[in-house]
Amino acid sequence: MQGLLTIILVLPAAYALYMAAQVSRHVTNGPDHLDAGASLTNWTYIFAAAGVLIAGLGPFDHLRLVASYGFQANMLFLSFVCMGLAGALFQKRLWLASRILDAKSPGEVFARYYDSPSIRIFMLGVAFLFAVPLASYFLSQTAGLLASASSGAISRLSAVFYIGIFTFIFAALGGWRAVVYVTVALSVLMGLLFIFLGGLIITALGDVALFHDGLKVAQGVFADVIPGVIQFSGGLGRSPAEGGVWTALAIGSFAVSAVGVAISPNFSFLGLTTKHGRGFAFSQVWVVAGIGAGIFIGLSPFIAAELESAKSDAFQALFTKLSDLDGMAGAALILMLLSSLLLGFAYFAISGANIFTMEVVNRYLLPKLSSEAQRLSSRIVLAVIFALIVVISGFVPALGSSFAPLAAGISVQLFMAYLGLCWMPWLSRSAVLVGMCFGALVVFFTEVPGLILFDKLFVPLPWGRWPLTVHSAAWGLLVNIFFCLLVAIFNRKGAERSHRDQLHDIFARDHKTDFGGRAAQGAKWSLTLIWAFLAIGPGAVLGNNFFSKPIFSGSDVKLGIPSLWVWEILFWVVGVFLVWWLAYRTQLSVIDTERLRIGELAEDPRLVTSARQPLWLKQLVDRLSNRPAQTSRAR
Amino acid sequence: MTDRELKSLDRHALVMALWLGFAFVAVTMLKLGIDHTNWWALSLGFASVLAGFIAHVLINIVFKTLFTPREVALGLFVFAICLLWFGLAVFFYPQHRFSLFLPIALGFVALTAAVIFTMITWLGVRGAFESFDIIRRFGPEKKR
Repeated sequence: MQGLLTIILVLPAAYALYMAAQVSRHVTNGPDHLDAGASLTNWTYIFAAAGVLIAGLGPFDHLRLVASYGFQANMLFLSFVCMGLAGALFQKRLWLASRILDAKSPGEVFARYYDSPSIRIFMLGVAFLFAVPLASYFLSQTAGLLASASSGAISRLSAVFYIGIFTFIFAALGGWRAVVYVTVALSVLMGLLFIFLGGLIITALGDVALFHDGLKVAQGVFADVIPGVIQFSGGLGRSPAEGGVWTALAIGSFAVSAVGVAISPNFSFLGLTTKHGRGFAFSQVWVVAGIGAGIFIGLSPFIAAELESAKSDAFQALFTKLSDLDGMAGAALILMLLSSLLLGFAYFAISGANIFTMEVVNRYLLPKLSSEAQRLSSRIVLAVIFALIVVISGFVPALGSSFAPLAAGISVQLFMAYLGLCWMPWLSRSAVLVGMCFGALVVFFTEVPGLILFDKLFVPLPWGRWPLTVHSAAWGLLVNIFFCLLVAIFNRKGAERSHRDQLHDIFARDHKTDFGGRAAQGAKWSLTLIWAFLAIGPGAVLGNNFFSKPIFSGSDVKLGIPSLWVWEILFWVVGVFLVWWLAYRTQLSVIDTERLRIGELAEDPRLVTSARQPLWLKQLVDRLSNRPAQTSRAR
Repeated sequence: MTDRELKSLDRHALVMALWLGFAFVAVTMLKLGIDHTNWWALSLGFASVLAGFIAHVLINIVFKTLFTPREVALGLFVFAICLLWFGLAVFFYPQHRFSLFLPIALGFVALTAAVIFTMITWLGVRGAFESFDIIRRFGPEKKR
């Protein structure tokens, strides 16, 4: 098995190195190394975006969740439809704003639109959470999986080091374009192998475990139904939720956190580096909400039924079973899990490093760097980020796994900032900032790091993680919206409004959306809300018995599969239609570049390199860079 | 990087990414089919190769290109090796391999038919024939 494992590791590694070498032959200047010259083609976005969103949600963890909690956890895959909806709502206008403002990174777009360095710093913080704790978590899981699959022949620590060093080498060599190519390859591999494994389990392993034994859920958990709309428990770690933690509100609030991945600076960076943005609609509708959600909703229960949820190494039993059938089948399972984990690790780490280079090093620290020096600076930042990740996943993996959930939770606090940028010019800078800060604080204190910090320093908090079975991201967003609207009431017509209106005037003039008449507009938003209520909201509990015990029929119907699963598939289909309607018909994601004037609101070029570097930072850099010369003179 | 280089690199990356996935699935299914004498698995293995080929054709349509000479050479080489292996296996191990003869032979026929169909669709009957017309290609050049 070790030989086969080596081969399956060498294949994607050889592809990554080959593509990095090919790209480095063609890309010669520094800025192109960082953002691929903002000229990625549509298909790269279509495949890579789907892969990143799926990996950001984590199939590795979600298969284990389905194995532990049954079909209530399978409902979480409807989050892909929400990601598609969020993409339709924001991705196009963010891309247009970046071209109109001539801004290269998401932080720069928001900072320029709101005229606020604080928003840039907040976004950098979010990018850091994705780039370090979340990437460390993925790397740690990858290393653990490799150690387990090789029966200890590859130690966990050496796997962390080898993967970390290899990924650094290919990213430093090929830059952003090579990273996106590798992301595409891993996405395709993950998707195809997931379908292949699902099919293999259904057809080749004898009795289908899902129909024969059902899902081996934990003690006291309802396998086939959602355990209520809400449970008045103190949260995870305080009091247990009866029948399972995935209540209707838990599912809905988890979908909110999934939106956090779709609007994270790291993911938005991929969209901004595409050339035309014409792949947005196709990716959102057909790949993410369509195929992505479909294969996970349909096949996950079959795979999860083969896992042993009670054991820490849940995949071992399935791996042994598949390896007994054929070594290549066992290898396919490992490769599928590895591709999803490696994709998440490599993409989030490298995109975060590139955002840091562009927004901190090239903008504030060393704004007059030559093209070649920019490439060097990006490699140094990459090295620092990778060193951090390797140290955390190698020696303190608990740190990565504790802080990783904060990434999506805090990222979703950017929701109001996105709304302001794309649709609501009356949301002011201070409103957005106040909302974001309060929201992030609430997320912090309803997640593991905040609870540990408060419990150790002061007194134990009365709530645990995700109180009332509502995800921390949704608690944060509720508080965020409240404070944001409260502040916006008072300063919606300030002097800065005219600055923000410039962008919205251009949107209204050149990039109109086609919502139709008043009735059509109402129908679109009503359908979205009804879908959210029934698919991922309180109405989802209707699905528990809707098809097995029809309301107007006295008798039960034997479906052979749980009613909840049928409900989920039904609302997945409706969800895809909804995203299609908004993305294509309403033209929320269809970009017409004919009327686009690039750099219409660009910064004054005289200000670009001189005035934006703060004086104290300039003096610090000068002092540090001149020190060796002074020392030699003194001698 | 010029637009042409960029397009070429993009196409190359996409082709390799898709074949990486389809080829792995195909090899696994074919191995499973041969080891367990399972013609369903064998058929799915060939279907996977066919799906990879169709994806490759779609990429050519999107990028408005044809198969590159290297791709054609690699494809023909792999196809020839597989055919040779199949012939030798039938010749040397008839008792073991006879049960798999039909699905594998049908698989090869299906792949050949797909290639010929693609060539005729793109190049026309005459163009497809001329692609194999080695005598004319290597013969003495006509005086103009």
